[in-house]
Order: sequence, then structure tokens, then C-alpha cells
Amino acid sequence: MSVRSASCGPDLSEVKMNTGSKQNSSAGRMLTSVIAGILIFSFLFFITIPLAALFTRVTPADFVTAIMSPAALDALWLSAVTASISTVIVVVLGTPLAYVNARVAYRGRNIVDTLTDLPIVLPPTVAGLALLIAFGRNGLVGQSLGIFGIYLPFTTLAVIISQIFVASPFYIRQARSSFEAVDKDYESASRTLGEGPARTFFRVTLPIAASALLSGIIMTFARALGEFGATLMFAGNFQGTTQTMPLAIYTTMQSDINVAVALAIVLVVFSFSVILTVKYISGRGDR
Amino acid sequence: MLESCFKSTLRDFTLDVGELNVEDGKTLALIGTNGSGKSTVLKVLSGIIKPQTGRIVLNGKVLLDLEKGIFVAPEERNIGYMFQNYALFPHMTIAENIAYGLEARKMPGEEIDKRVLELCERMGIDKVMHERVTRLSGGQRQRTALARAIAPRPGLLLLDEPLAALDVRTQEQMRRELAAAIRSEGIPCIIVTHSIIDALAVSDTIAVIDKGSIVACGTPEEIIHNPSHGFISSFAENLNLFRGEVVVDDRGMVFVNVAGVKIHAVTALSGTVSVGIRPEEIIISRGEFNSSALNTFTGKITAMDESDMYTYVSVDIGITLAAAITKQSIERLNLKVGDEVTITFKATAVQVFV
Repeated sequence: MSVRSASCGPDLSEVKMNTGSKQNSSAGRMLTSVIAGILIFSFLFFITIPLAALFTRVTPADFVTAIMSPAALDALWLSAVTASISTVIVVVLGTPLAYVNARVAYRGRNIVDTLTDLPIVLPPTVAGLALLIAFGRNGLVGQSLGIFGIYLPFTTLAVIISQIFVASPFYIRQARSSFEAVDKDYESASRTLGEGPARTFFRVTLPIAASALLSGIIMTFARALGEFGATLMFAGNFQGTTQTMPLAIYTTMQSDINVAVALAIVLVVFSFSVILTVKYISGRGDR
Repeated sequence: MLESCFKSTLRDFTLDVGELNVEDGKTLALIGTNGSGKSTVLKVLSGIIKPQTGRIVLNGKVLLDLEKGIFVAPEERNIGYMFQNYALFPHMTIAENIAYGLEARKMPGEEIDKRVLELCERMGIDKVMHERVTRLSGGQRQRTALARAIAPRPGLLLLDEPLAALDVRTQEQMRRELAAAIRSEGIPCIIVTHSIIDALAVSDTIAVIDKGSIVACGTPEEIIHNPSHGFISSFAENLNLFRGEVVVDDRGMVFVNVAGVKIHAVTALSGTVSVGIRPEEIIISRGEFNSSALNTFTGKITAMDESDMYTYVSVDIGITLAAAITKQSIERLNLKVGDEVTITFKATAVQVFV
């Protein structure tokens, strides 16, 4: 400590003038590091322990048996299919909106932005209730759909709608900022070189934004996979048609906890890889 | 031949450059400070920005006539635009960047390959043509951007600060290459720059733009010799810019003769040239001192202008040279207007250009 402070001039004079307070401050600094260390480790401990508990709960043999059970397989398959479909729909519907919001300054853009972000903070039960009231038998849209014999609630389609509603902001937010990060000059250059707006978007804007968009897509898929509240309320909990992995965990927890744990492990491993992948992609994207 | 006249309201002022006409094979340099509206002129001409009123005709084709409701989209204008910082597509190779405009025009693949190779060879980037542009040096990027802009044989070439992103050493070489490339295309060209040296090196006409208006316009000679506008006169003074003749004496020493004052320089050029000596490179002393610098002159101080960092001391040695001197040195040497002083600078400090 003393060597380091002696090496810098003004500090040295301070030491001579007030040795006592210097000692106090170095002791204080040590105390700060100790407290910070304790806080950091308790937090990491708090996050890691429950996850580790999941992995220690079942033997590998039990895990295989549990994951091969009909309830688990149905849930895995249904989750994979619905989350994929809802992610594709979010990308198709969300990309134009994200691009327009990134490039065009129109009146009410903030309102539109807020609206698309809303599902992130909205409790999923509110989303589920809202969907049920909108698409239910006597709902705003449900009534008219009923005329054509279409009934959405408690179907696989309802699962997808719930996932779209809840997961779309993850893609749209990310897509908007990835489009904003594409220098307008790239698009102008493409135009002056003879390509129209649509081909410019597909040949220049999209490829340049691609890795950032991919992060958004992965996050959206992960969120759709984890969707629980809105699905439960709007789509119900029927094995094979609406019982996705989170719902299956909730259900099997009461009958065969091994199945619940096995599915939970799959979700933990998947989520961990997702975040790691996204970090890798966005790290590579920093040019 | 480009004929244009337009007005566009910008945030702080109205861009109104009056008639802006450039003939085939001629280059117009638009010179001005940042925010003077010079880049906007290029954006309007290329169709990236739509002005409030105006008319643009290129080779007889009307690209813009707002009274008649004509607005040709940028992709239909056939204008080569080299962006500031080049805007090379980072997800493509050099060859793919250059081919981009040719593919947009649905040129057959073989012809595209031929044209791309020809341009790469001419620009000296054929060895790296299959590299991603993110791996290129500044000079290679500049050449790629120029090649991409001229590849589709545009009817007009627009260059936005083509040399600003390069280091000083590369700039000198690229300035020569750029001038040659523009001349060989035989199309009208507008180059936007804040560097008087770039403007002098490549242009036939210089227009000075300030707050959206053209405040002075003329040949490079006229602009340097009659620096009517403050912006240019500040350049002419601050850069010690002169025109002169290259003279080689019988001992092989190279001079530039500027109004009878012989300035040692290092150059391969001959005939009438421009010379510039940065004021920071000039040393003022009381009496001569022994040094390796070849240029030593004596003269009287005619003016002293204080700026933020330096005092610009003007010394009349037959021509007036400005030297940038720190305030401490002014005090130490006790310099006053009317004092007789010696000025010294190296031959390598003298920039010589066409």
C-alpha cells in the first residue's frame, strides 16, 4: 500500500499530512471489498443452489425413464412445435413493424412502441384473461369467429396465440434496435447502385442486421417455450393439445415429480444454452 | 452534362446553391465547413433527399422537376455515389461490393466478372478482391468504394469527402489516383470536401459553400488568388498556399519559385504547381541559426493574429508567410509587428501539388 501511494506525488504529501485518515480509508476499502464479496457470492449461491438441486434430485436412469413417459414426450413435442410456429409468426409480423419504427419518425411512434413492449411487464394472467375475453365464445372477436364455427380457446392454436402475445416484444425490441444500428448510408448506397427499397432491405439491411436479429429470435423462442400463465388461462391444460412443458411440470409435480424434474432440467439446460448463444452472437456482432 | 437548381430547407438554414451545372469530364469541388450543407447537395442530386423545389437534368434526362411532379427514384438515376466512410457492405467481399450495381442492372454474370476484375486490376486491389471489406486498409477501402461507384458506368459521379478517412501519407497518393480516375471516366463529377488541397488537386471549378449558399465560385487559380471569401482566405493564410514554378538548378536542387522567392521543396512534379507550408512547421528566430533545414529567410513581421492555440505571425519575405507560434515563445522572443526576424523550415515541410 505504502509503495503504491509513494509512487505518485500528490498522494505522498497527503500521506505526510494525514497518515491517520489514510489508514482509515485503506481499512475502509478492505471492508468494502469484503462486503461486496459476501453480497456477490450470496447472490450467485442463491441462483445456483435451486438449479443444482434439480440436477441432484434424479438419477440419470430416472431422468431417462421420466423423460420418455407419454406426458413428458407429449409436452416436449407440443412445446417445440408451438414455440417454433409462434416464433415464425412473430418474425413475419414483427419485422415490418420493427423496421418502420426504426426508420420512420411518425406521430404516435412512442405509443406504438409502448404497446408492443407492454406484454413484457404485463402479468401473463392478465394476458390470458384478455385473450380469453377477446377470443372467447362471447368475446369481441370470438363472437364473429363463432359464426364461422371457429372456436379458439382451449386449442393448440390458443397456445400459439398466447405465446405470440407474450413473447413478441422480445423480438420486436431487439429487431428495432438492430435495424437502427444499420447505418442509413448502406441503404442509400444500395439505392444509388440501382436496387429498389425491397431488394435493398433483403440484400443489405437484413444481412447486416442478421446476427442481432438472430439473438432476438432465440430469445423469443425461449420465452415462448417458457410461457405458462396466459396459456393456462386461455388454452387450458390438456395433455397432447395444450399441455406445454411448463404446464406439464405444474401438473406432474403433483403425481410423478420425476417427470416434472426431468422437464425442468431440459428447460434449464436449454435456457442456459440460449443465453450463452445470444451472448456469443452479440459479442461477435460488435465490430 | 448536369444541370440543376433546387432549394431544400434544412434544420438551420435553407440550402439554395443556385444553378449548379457541371460539364462532362469536368469536376466541381464543393468546399465548406462541417454543416455548411455540402453533403446535402449530393444527397439531393442522388435522390436520397427530396428538395422542396427544383429541377435536375442529367444528360438530357429530367431526374427531378417538382413543378411537373417528376421525381426519379435514386435507383433509377444512374448516379455513382461514393459515401463518406465509404458505406461498403460489410457482409460482402470487395468483388461482391463492386458487382452490386452491375447485378442490380441485371448484367450477365460473365460480363460482371469481367468488369469487376478489370476495375480491381486498375485500382490495384485484384489480389484482395475476395476478402471481406472489414479486413481492408483505408486505401483499399477507398479504392473499392470508388470502383463500386464507377462500375455501372454512371452518368454523374458524386464523391463525399473521398480522402478524409485516410491518413496523411495515403492521402497524397490517393489524391493523384483519384484525379486520374475521375478524368478517365469523362463524366461530370462533384466532390465534396473540407480540404482545400483536395479541391485544388482534383477539380476544374471550386465552389465555396457556406450556410447553404455558394459564396464564391471559380477556377482553383481564381479561388486562391482572390480569396474573397473568409473561409478560403483563412485557408490561404493558414496553409501558406501559393502558386509557383518548379525550378531545378544546375546542382540538382529543386525549388519552387513563388513570386521570386525560391523555396526548397521535395517533389517530382514540374511546371506550375501549388505549394503549401503548414504554419506549425515554420520556426521564427532572432537571427539565423545553424540547422539542417534548407529554407531560411529574413523579413519583417507584418501582422500578429491571436487564435485559441497559437499566434499567427505573418512575415513578409517577398511573399507573406504565416507561422504558428505559441504565446510563450512570442513572449520569450518579445516579438512585435515591424521586427526583423528569421524564418526556417525544412524542404520536406513544403507540400507540393498540382
